[in-house]
Amino acid sequence: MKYLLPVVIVFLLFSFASSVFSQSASPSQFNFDQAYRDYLYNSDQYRKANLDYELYRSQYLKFKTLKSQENAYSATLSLLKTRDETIKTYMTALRLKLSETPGADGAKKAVIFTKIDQEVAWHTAHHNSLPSAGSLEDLVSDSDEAKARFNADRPLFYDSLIAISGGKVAYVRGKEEEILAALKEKTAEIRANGDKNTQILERWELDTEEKITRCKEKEAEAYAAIAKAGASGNEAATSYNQALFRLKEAFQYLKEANSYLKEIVNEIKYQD
Amino acid sequence: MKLNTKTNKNMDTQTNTTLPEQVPQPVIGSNMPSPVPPSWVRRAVDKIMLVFKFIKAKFYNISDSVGGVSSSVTEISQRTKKIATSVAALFLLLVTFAIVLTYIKNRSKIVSQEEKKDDGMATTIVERKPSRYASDETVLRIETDVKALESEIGTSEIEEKNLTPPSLNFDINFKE
Repeated sequence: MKYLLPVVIVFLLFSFASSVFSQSASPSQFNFDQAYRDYLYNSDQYRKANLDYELYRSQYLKFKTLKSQENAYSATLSLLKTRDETIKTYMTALRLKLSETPGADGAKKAVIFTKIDQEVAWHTAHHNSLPSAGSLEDLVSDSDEAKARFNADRPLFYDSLIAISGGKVAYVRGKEEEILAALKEKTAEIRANGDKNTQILERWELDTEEKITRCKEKEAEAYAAIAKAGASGNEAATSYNQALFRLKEAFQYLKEANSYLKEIVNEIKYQD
Repeated sequence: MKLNTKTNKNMDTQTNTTLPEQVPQPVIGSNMPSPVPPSWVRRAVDKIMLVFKFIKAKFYNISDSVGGVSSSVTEISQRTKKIATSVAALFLLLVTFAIVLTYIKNRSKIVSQEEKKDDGMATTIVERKPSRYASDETVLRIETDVKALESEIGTSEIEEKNLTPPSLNFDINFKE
């Protein structure tokens, strides 16, 4: 009874310490979910700024007063800033999504990360330089710079999206290849034991392998399509849609391959 | 005998006095109208009777004899007898054949239906004995991996719909 109080105190101390440590660990993790929330918040801010811009622009064009000019300047500055922030947070979310996607090609990832970092840095600098604009014409000029940059970045966005989708396909394919290799090994063992006919199993394994091969072909077609993406936004979007279609086909092959694997396992589990 | 009838009568009166509330018994055929058969039935019956009379006239000769009525069966030739017998036998044979044929037909139908049912059962319930690899550690691990991958495939979406490039307004100008 006299040991009960110290034991309770020690237990409470440990539980308090563990809760403190668990809380301190979480804020340091900046992941895709957090980045995506930032992007949504900034998109919302941008939409509001765009509405203000449209309102004050029309007032300025109507009245041409100094007050309306000042309001139009403030609204445009706010629009350009929130637009830069939206692009930055979008690219950050894209980067983190690619980073968290297992199966994405490491070298490809590195190239995309470098490009995204450069673009984020450019938009940060652009955002910081905006207050120095003295007139509406300066703001228009700044906006045109951002427009050119954004259009030039479109192929990068689509390339990143295909890298993410392709990474998902490659991840599932890798898993299936591992499972198939294990099944082949097991089939060889069963054949050596001679207690079960393995002809069906081997034939089904070949069928599964064929599905995986078809998937790889579709993946290659997808990457070839996205590589053809031109500099213009429309061309990039068309190439992206073609590549995405190929990846969806590839994923369908993987679904079929997985159901084959399931059947092979079932066949092993039962006698002839 | 008279005494008996008296006693019976007395008994009847007694019963009448002791049971004043007699249960009314239905009187059958007293007041009900006699059923009249339809005209076509009567005609048919008449015809049948005519046929019988004709047959009777053919086979029987009614002759008055002294002291009463006597009938004598006419002689039927052997040939007619044979024909009648053979026709009757043929008729009987045909009826038997028809019955047997109907029975066989019905029987074959039932058998084919049962066979179909049996086939269905055979395709749905296939009992296979588990092999020695059913409890194999590697096989079970592979099975778990396949199932996990299946659920992963079911939930994952290839297209990143949330991350399509944002639609932004770059048309900034102050020209009318």
